[in-house]
Amino acid sequence: MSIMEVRSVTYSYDGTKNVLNDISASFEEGKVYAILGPSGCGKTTLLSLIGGLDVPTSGTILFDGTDIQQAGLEAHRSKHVSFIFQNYNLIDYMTPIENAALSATKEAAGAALKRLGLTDSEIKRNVLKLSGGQQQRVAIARALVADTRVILADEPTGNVDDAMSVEITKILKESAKETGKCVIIVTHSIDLAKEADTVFVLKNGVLQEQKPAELETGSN
Amino acid sequence: MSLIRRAFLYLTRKRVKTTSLFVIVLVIATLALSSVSLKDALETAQLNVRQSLGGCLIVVPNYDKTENWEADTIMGGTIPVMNFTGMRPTKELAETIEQELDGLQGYNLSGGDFVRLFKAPDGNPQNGYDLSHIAVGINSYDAKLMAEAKESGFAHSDNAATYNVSVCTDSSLDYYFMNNEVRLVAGRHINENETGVVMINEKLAEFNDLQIGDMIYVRDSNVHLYQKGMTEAVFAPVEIVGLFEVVKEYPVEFSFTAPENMIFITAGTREIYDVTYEERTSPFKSIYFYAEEPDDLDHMIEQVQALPGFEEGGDFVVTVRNEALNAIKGPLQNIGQIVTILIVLILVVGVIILSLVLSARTKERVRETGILLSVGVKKTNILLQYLVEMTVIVLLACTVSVFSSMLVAENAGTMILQDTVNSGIESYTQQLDEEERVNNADVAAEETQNLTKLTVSIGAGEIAVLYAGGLLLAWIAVAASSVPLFRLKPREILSRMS
Repeated sequence: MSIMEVRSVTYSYDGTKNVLNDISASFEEGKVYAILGPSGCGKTTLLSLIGGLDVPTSGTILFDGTDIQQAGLEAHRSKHVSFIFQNYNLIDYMTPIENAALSATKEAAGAALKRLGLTDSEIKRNVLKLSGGQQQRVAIARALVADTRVILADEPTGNVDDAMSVEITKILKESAKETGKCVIIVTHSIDLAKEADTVFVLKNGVLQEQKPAELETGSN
Repeated sequence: MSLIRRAFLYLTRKRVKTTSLFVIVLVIATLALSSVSLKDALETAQLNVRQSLGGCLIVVPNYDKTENWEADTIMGGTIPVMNFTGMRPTKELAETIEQELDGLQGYNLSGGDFVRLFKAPDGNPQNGYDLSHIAVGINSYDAKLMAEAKESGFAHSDNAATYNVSVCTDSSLDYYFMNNEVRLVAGRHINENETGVVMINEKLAEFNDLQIGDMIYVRDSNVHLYQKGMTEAVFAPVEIVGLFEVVKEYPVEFSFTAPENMIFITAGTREIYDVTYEERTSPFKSIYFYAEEPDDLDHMIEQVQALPGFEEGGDFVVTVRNEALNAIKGPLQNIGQIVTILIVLILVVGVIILSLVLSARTKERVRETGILLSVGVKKTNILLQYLVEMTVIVLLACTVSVFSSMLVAENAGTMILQDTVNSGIESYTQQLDEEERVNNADVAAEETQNLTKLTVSIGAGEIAVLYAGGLLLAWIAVAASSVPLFRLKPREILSRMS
C-alpha cells in the first residue's frame, strides 16, 4: 500500500507555464525511489510538494490517504517526512549531534551518527569543521533518526566524491530495508538511480516510470 | 530540540554576533537611561545652584527715615551718638510676611551683637577667662599672646576679646549658612525655642580645648556696661551644641569681625546677658526669606512691598538679592532644553539603528530558518526563538546600563553644569568691582563647585520603563524584521538558501 501519493498534480511558478503537468505517482514504504531528470525539469519542485514545502497549483498530495494540505503542512513536515539536501543544510552554530537531534533525542542522534561512521570527537565538533562527506552523513543521520516514514533526498550525492556517493546510496538503501521507510531521491545521477527500486523520469513536466535496469549507464 | 535550547546555543556559540548586539543595545540603553536620569539630576542640581546663589528677600528697618534717629551721648556725655529709634523687624512681622508668600523655604530673623566669651573650669564664670581668638586678618589679636595672658592673668582690653554674635531664630537659615560662608561640621543647628545653646567655629573650639557639650559663658561687652553705668556683667551659660567650619575666608581688619570668631545664639540667650535688651523693640535687625524656587523672588518682593509698613517712607524696606542667580538663569534653562532634545535624538537614532541591525541579522538567518522549517519547526516557534535571544540580550544590556548610565550621567552632568554655572558666574563677576568680586562672586563660584557635582540616582520606575521599553522595542524590531521572511513559503526560503 502506498504511503505517499501524488495525484494529478500541476505546478506553475507564474501561472502560465506548467513545470509539472498533471502528474501522478505513488510511493510505498520500504522502497527506494529515484526521480531522474535534467536540471531545471522540476525534480526539486516535485520533492518540495511531496515534502509540504510548497503547494501544487492543482491536484493533491496524499500521505497515508490524507491530503497533506488539509492535515497541515507544518505537521506533515514535522511528523511524516524528513529531508536530505544537496548542500547539507546544517545549522552552523550546532554540533553534528545537536543538528541530528533537531527532530529526535540526543541519544538516538548520537547512535545514528556513530552508525554512519562519525567518531565521538567528531559528533561534538562544530559542523563546519567536518568534511563535505561527513556533513552529508550528519544530514542523513538527521533524516534517519526523525520519527518519520518518508525520507526525501534532494541530490544527496551532488557534493560528494564517487566513493562517498556509493556509501551514501548504500546507507539510504539499507535504511529503507531495515526501517521500512520510503526513500525518495531526486537526482540526475543514473548510477544512483540504478540503485533504486523504482525510477521515475521527469521530462517536460511529465513523470514516467522506468525500470532501473533499462537506464543507460552514466550521468543523465 | 526546544526553542530555549536553540536560543541558548545561538547566544553562546555565536559570540561575536551576540556580543556586538549586546554592545549596541547597551550603548543605546546607557545613553537613553543616562539622559533621563541626567535630566532629573540636573533639575535638582539646578534648584540647588539657584538656592545657593543667595536668592533671598531681606527685610530691614528703614534707616533712611530721619524721624527714626535720635541724638544722644555716651561715656558720661562725652561722645555724641545717634541712636536708631525706629521699628525693628519682629517675629510678628516675619509671620505676617510668611502668610502672604507661597513657596517659602523658610525665614530667619537675624541680629548682631558683640560679646565676650568665657571659659570657667570651676563652673563659676567670675573665676573664668576669655576664650582665645583665632588670629585672622591684619591688626588681629595675637592668639599666642592671649594664651600667655590667660596663664598669667593678664587683663587685656575689651575689644581684643570681643566676639561677633549672630542672633538667629533658625541658624540653618542664617545668611552665613545659606550663603555657604560657614558650614555645620558637627552637632546640630539651633532655633528660637532654645535658650542657653551656642554654635562656634570648630577651630576656635579646638584652640580653646572645647568640644560639643561643654559649657561656656556669654557676657555683654564693657562698652554696653559703661553705657548703662554697670560695673558687673551678667553671664549667660551656653552649651556648645554645634560646630561649624568657615568656608569663605574674608579679608578682615580685626579678628573679632571674622567668621572664624563668630558665634550663633538665640534671642533667649541674648535676653539673659544683654543689659540693653529691654530698650530695644526687637533683638533683630533683619529678616531673610528664602524661596523654594528662587525664580519666584521677583514676584514675592512685590507682594511684600504691598504690605503696610513697606510703602515709600514706611518703617521697613525689602530688597531682593538674586544677582548671581539672574546671571546663570538663562544658561541653566538652556541645559534642560538641550538634554530633552538629546533624549529624543538618542531614542529616535537608537530605534533606527537597532531596527536596521536586527533586520540585517534576521536576513542573515534565512538559511537557519529554512532548515528549521524543513524539519517541521513552526514559524511561530522560530520567531519565539529569535525573541527569546533578543530578550536575553536586552535584559543583560539593560541591567549593565543601570550602572554604566549612572557613571555617564554623573560625569557628563557635572561637567555640563559646572561649565554653565562657571561661565554664568564669570560673566556676573565682570560686572562687579574688585571688592564685590572677592566678597560675592568668587565665593559663589566656589560654593557652586560643590553643588554642581551631581548625585545621580535612578529610580525603580525609570528602570522598569527601561526594561519594558527596551523589550518592547526589541520585540517589535525582531517581529518587524522577520515579517518579510516568514511571509515566504518554506520552499522559497529554501530556494534563497541555495
